[in-house]
Amino acid sequence: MMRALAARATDAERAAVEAWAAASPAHARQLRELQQMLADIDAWYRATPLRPTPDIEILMRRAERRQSRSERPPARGDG
Amino acid sequence: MYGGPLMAQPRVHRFRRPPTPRPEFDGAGRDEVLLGMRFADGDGRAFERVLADYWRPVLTFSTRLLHDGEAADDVAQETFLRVWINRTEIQPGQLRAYIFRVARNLVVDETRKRRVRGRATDTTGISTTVPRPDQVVERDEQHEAIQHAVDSLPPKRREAFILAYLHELSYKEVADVLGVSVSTVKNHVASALMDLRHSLAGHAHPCD
Repeated sequence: MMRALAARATDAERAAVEAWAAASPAHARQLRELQQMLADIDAWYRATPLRPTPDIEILMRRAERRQSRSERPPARGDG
Repeated sequence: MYGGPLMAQPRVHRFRRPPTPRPEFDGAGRDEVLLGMRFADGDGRAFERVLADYWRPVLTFSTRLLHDGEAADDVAQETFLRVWINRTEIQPGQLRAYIFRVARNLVVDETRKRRVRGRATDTTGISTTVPRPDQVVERDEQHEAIQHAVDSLPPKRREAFILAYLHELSYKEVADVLGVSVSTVKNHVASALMDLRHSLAGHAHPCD
C-alpha cells in the first residue's frame, strides 16, 4: 500500500489500493490520513532553504585544477 | 492518528522525472541515458544540464541530513566535482544513482567527522548548536515535527525513504546508493512510513 501511494506506482498498484479503500469507511479514512501525511512531508521537504546553483565555469575550473594536481608526477624528493 | 482531508489537488513533486519510458535502464529514462552518454563524453552542456537537474535535489538531500546550509553546500559542490572528474566511469543509465551515492557518502563522512569532533550532533544526528542564519531553522510547528520525526528514523531507513519517496528513485537505484539489496530497501521504506505515521500522529496540518 505504501508503494502505491508514491507517484511512480503502477496502475495495478493504485487499483489495488483504491479497492482496499472502497471496502470500508475505516480503510478510506486510513488512506486519506496517510496521503495527507505524505503530502505534508513532501511540502516540508520542498520548503528546504537552499543556496543558489554554483557557477558551472568555476566548478569546471576547480575540477581541472584538481585533476591536474592528481595527474602531476610527484616532485623530486617527495615522500 | 494522522488526520486531515484528502488533498484536492494531486501532489506535485519538485524532483519528479519527466514521464519517459525507463524500465530497461535501472530506472533511468531514454533522455537520462542520452544525457549520461554526453556527460561521460565530457560535454560541458551536458554538465550544465546535470547541474540544473540535480543541484537542488542533491542540496536538499544534504541540507536535510546535515542541518547546516554551509556544510550541505560544500557537500553538493564536492559531489558535482567528483561526478564530473569521474564521469568516464559512470554507466549512462546510472548517472542519477551515482550522483546520489557520492552525495550520500559525503554526508556520511561529514556526519562521522562531526561526531568525532564532538560537534553539533547528538546520537540522533540532530543539530544541538545555536543555528547560524544559513542553517535550516523550522519556524512552522508542523515542519518541526516532521523534521524531528525524520531525524528520529535510523539512518538507512531515513535515506531510503527520502530517496525512494521524495526523490522517486527506483528501489534498484536506492539499493545502489545505499549498498544494500532491493528487498532491504523495500523494508526500509515500509518501516519508515510506519514509523513516521506513528511519530506524526496528531500533527495534521492546521489549515485542513
